[in-house]
Amino acid sequence: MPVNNSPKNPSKFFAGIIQFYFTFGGDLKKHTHLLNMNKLITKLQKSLAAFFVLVFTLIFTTITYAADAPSAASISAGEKLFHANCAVCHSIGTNKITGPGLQGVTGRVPAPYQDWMLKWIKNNAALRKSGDSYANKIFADNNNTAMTVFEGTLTDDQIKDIIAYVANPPQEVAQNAAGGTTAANGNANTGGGGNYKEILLIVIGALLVLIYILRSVRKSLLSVSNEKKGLPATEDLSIWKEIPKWIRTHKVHFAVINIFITAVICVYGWEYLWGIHVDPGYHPSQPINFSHQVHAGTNGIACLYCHSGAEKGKVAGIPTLNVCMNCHKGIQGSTPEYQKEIAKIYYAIGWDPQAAAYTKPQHPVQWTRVHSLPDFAYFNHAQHVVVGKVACETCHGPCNTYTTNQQFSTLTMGWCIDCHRQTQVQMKGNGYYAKLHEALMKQDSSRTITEADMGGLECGKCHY
Amino acid sequence: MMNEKKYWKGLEELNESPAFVKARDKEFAKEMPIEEFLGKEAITTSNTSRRDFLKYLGFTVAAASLAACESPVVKTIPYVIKPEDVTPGVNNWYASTFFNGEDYCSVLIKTRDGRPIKIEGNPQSPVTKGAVNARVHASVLSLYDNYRAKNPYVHGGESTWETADREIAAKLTAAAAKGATGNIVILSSTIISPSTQQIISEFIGKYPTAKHVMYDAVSFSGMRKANQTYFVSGKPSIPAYSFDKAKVIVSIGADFLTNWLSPIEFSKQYAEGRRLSREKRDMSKHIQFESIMTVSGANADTRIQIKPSEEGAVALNLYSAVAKLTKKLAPANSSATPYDDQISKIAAELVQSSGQSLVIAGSNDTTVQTVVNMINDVLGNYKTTINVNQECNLRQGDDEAFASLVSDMKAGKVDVLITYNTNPAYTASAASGFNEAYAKVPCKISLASSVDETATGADYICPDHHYLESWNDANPYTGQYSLAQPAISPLFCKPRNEGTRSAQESLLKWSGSDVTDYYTYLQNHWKKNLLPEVSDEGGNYLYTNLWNQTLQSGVFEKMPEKAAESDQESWGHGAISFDIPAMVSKIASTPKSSGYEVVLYQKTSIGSGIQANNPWLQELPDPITKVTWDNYITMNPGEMKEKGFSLLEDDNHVASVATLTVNGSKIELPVFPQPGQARGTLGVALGYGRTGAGRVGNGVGANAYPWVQWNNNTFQYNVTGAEIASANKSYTIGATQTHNTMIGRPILKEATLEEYQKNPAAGNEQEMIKTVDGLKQLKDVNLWDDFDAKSPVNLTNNADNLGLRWKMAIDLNSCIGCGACVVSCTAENNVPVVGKAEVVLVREMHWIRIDRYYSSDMSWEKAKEEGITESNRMYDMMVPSSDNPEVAFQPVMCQHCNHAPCETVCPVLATNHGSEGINQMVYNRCVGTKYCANNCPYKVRRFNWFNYYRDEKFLTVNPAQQSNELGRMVLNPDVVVRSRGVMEKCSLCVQRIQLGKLKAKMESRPVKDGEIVTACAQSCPTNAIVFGNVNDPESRVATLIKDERNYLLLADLDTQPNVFYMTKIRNKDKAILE
Repeated sequence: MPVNNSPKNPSKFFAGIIQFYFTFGGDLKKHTHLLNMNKLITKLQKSLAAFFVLVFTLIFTTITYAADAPSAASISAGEKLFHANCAVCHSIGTNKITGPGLQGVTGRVPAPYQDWMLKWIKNNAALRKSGDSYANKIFADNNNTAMTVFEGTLTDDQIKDIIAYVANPPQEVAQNAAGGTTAANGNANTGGGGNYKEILLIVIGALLVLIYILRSVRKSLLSVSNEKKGLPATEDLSIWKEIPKWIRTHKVHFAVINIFITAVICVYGWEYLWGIHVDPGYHPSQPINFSHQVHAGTNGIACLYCHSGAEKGKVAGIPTLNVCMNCHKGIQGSTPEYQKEIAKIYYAIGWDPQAAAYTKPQHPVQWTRVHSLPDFAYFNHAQHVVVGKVACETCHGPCNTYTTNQQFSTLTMGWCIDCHRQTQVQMKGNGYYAKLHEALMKQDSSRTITEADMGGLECGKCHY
Repeated sequence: MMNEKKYWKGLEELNESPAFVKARDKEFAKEMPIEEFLGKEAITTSNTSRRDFLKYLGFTVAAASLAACESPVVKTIPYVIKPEDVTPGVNNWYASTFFNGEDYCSVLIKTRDGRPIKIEGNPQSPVTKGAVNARVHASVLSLYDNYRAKNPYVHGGESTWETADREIAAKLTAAAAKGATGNIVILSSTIISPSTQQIISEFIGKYPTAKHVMYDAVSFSGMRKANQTYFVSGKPSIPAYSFDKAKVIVSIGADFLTNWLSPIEFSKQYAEGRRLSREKRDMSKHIQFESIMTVSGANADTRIQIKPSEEGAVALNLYSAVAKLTKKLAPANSSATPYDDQISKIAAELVQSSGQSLVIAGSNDTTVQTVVNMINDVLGNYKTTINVNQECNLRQGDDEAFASLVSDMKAGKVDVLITYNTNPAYTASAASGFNEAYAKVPCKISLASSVDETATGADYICPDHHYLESWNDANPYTGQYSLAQPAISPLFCKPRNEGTRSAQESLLKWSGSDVTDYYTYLQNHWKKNLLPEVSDEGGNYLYTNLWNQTLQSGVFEKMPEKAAESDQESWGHGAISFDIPAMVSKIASTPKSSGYEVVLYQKTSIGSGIQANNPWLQELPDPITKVTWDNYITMNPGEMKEKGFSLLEDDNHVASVATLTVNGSKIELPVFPQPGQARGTLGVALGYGRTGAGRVGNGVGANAYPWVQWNNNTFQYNVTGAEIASANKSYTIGATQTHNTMIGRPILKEATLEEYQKNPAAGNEQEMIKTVDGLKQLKDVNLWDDFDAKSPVNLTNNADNLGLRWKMAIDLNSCIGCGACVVSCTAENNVPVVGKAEVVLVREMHWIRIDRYYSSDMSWEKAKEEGITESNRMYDMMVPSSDNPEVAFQPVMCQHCNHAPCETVCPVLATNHGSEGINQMVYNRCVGTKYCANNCPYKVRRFNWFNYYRDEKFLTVNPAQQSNELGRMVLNPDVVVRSRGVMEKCSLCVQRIQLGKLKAKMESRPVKDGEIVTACAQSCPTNAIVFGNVNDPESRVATLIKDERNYLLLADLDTQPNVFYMTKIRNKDKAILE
């Protein structure tokens, strides 16, 4: 799978590895010059170098690969097409709607995936008929539900855009869809991605193993050479005693290693600290197994039908049970699973379905809060939804695909600020801005006014 | 009584014994028991080695850090069924009525998510016109008072309503069967609710031996009785006053701005009569005769100090002087007073403004009030400034009825006593003997809402709702009605508690009425008696429409034809002849003592003591003395010096304690120097020293009610024959302002009306700065040019005048110093209460303070002339040397400087400037260096020393701010509760600004002037504070900034504040004082 999040500064960590190599390589040379085995050592060093070259190549390939990815324009065009044509049945994550979730699809389908997917999307029936084994397998896996044929509806270029989008889904979606990724690697502001860290860990592990092997090799070579020269066998130090000894004799090297380790700890620590209480993808289980995917997705209920507070004031509000009952008086669930969940609503609101009357005691539902801003930050939904005309999905993501509701955005201050820097103020048609809008248009009609220009970055706008 | 131990560690401290001094100078009073836990033996026998200790330490730190990294799981519980009109996060406003038996106010209640959190005045009320005072603001906190009774009590134990009702009904029936008239008594404070009065008459109908007695803690009985004989109606009454129509106001000992009759209403009227603008360059003249320094006296143009015993003589001589000039009635042949010269000049002023003047007296003496009536009569004020046809229903207490009730109780004639909204066990004087009489009543029922002093001794406590939980109505004046509606369901209700029940419902239940629900009863009463019979075209009575309209506006007017206009003929005194010589002799016989005379007054905050358990009020600095949390003896500083009492001149707030003896009963109280207090007089505030108020109010100060005297068949609050002696103790007082003058700086600018009329900029001359090049104008000497050039915000003004630019105008001529803004700010901004101990350490948290300055005779020049040394001059200027200083009030909050000294020194940019002119404070960024506070020339920044909302230490000073579920309900969720270690200050109520802007944006229109106001501006009963957008040319603040009276505080610092002040103008008549 291609690495989408290239490390912030790869050169830094290669430099670290090279430094590490020379430290130990140099050391090896120093100790073995007594022996007439320079050649052997050189060979060893060469193979070591070859190993690193291999590692570098691997890493560079992945990075280069990422750089070769389709253009942003193609991806964003693909995104629109995807939402228009595919999103009804496919999620970009792992969850299945009608068709399978498309995360990682590029790795699953027969390579090269572009060609195969183009064929499949254009006319999947034809592909199946052609006897493509994977196509038939997919068809069978999905209860023989046939996918729409897009030949004639979409051009090849458009399909390629869609494929580009599916291969390069937005970062947050990829992470969220992976299902509750941890805080440490989820923060877009710190630019941290999980992959390069894993590679770094593997490299470090490999190096440690290598050091251990080389040490044994050196030891045995030394004892052989000593034997040859008739020198007394060197004292067989355990590794714990040898390390301090090595430190005493290699102070500069030790300092360099130390600095390297400290730097690594600092980087990791810093990123970890930034991630505390930043929980995108947080999706706690709820007392009632409510699915946004069923309500907002399949049934297409508007967000504001339930979250009516979003238009009126500070909080969007968790719908009260009387709102649920508008529909669920009639809809009692088609499967036992659904019935069980809907019965919970009846229990909470005190509805007797047999008598069709609110006769029982009420039991308020204790939801677990998903989005929780700290007290010192003031956020008002009406400001954003009504005045700013921001779509719910901008912050809350594709809720209509969530079976368990989850936090989509990081909700950090950096995230707020980023949006305020980019978002244009919806001045047109709002009498509040009439005078200002007129004056600005007179000055420069092409001018765009962002939230930040209107003082949207001032502390006192949110903190009081 | 004060607790000696609390403030004194021992005699050694007093005598400063060498051992004590040695110990005192050490860091710890006692030796640290180090040997016990770090001695060799202790270490060797210990099981915990140093290594173990470090391991535990490390583990704990690691565990704590790890635990802190975990996001907390937060539960959220929505309504099961959402009430139609409640949207979470959106405020609802309800019109209601505040009446606690004393003050009346039509109010608007802000509720958030079903909880009342703020009270404002109702601008639609023709009576109070949107005014409120500190006590009304604070009443919302009393709702969440954990000391409220939550259950009915029967014989001291918690019980059920069934038991209580059953037993009470049996007792009432048995008593009624006796047939002895007056053996069942309902004793209440003034009731102005027509429905409640109806309920009481129904109760009396059911139990014919019952009667209703009204009693006020601070009585106006004398005035009602005087009017009974004076007015043709022949019943005890009080007319309606219009201070706004009066050009000359003379008050003899009446503090009408904070306590007298209907202070909320009067302060609004008073300010209107004195408001100056470019269009109106004239104001009323206010002359005050008084002994203690009251808020009214402090605002007076001329203040004349008299002894309380001279009130009658002053009134009589004023009458004579006026009568002589008008020749309408015969002058009295009274004895001379030392003020006769001034009185004749005042009389001339009054006569000149005949029909446009007003004379009032605070005395509860019938004779004095009759004389005052005669003065007003002669001046023809009954046609204009006093409306006899519109009766005031407040303060209906009848002293004689109360006295006869007490003697009935003593004689064992009263079988059942029901007390409602009154606390005579605390407020009744020793002379009345109420407490012994109370013990003799076999069945005592209390309808109090908390277990107060009277309820403690009662057999049955049937707790009433708080007014924010109950329905009610009010009829403060003839024809003026208002409704009170519940803003929250009763907090204490079944099934958790037996709960509270409205007193009216209790009475209905006991009367065996068909309707036991007060809401239904109230509606029926209004339908039957008040609401007009308006019908629609189809002939349907539009009752519901009318009811809803009334409920929405909160007020309803139904004026009898007669009341609309005062008509002299309809009340004329012609038939009544006055025995002037008898009055002269009565006044002459007023007891005058050789010793001191004591005035028992009410403080602006605590009043008669009803709300003593309210920490917001306890911490509100008294407008005059600036003392919080205590009552004390006020005394003339000159006399204190003679007696050797501490003048509190240094900053340690230590006052001398004195023993005050009146008629053999003693109390110990600290003595506080009060400039302007008449010599030979002392002042002691009522309302303190409570024992049944609750955790906050109990034991604060000492109770002075027992000293109230009985004279001329009324209670007298002017007490003679007092002795004061040092108690050889000292006591620390929590005062917020320790200096009294401006030390020669032009902080507060003022001019006389005469000067102002000649030159509107009088007293507001441009300051010049001394430089090496000579005197220069302020704008030419500026350190900030570079700053302005680089600033991203256009500081001087928005060039295109398009954006919002908030400014606040404070008219010092209108500010009466009442403190309503301080409490309002506390409620709006979740300002914590810190308690007296912290106030002493100068750690009070109020975001707005009202500085009170005495104008001293001493000036730099005068000090030089008198040869006072340079080092002493400043000090001498701080002590007002004048015996009768002029007083001025100045509210100071963050000035929101455009050149803010605080912003430039913050190392973490926690305080910075917004584009709308607001100096922003970001608490979550603040690290508490306090540099900003040090650099602020206005001293308006407050450092948050503690987690006031969590710390156990503050449990006693404000139980409501602790994290219990009840107390937290009063917090405003739009404002963060600040944590320990941050600086906080006035934000110009930025939450209101943001909400107001949002409303305008959502309604697609520009912000309207007056739509966005700060809490202080909204709450100011005199409209002294005006807030608005200066870029809106139509706004009031834009008009005011053009007024010549406007000036900036400490303008020479060139901080360019966004708050500006308007000079104070005194309608001073030098002739009167000379």
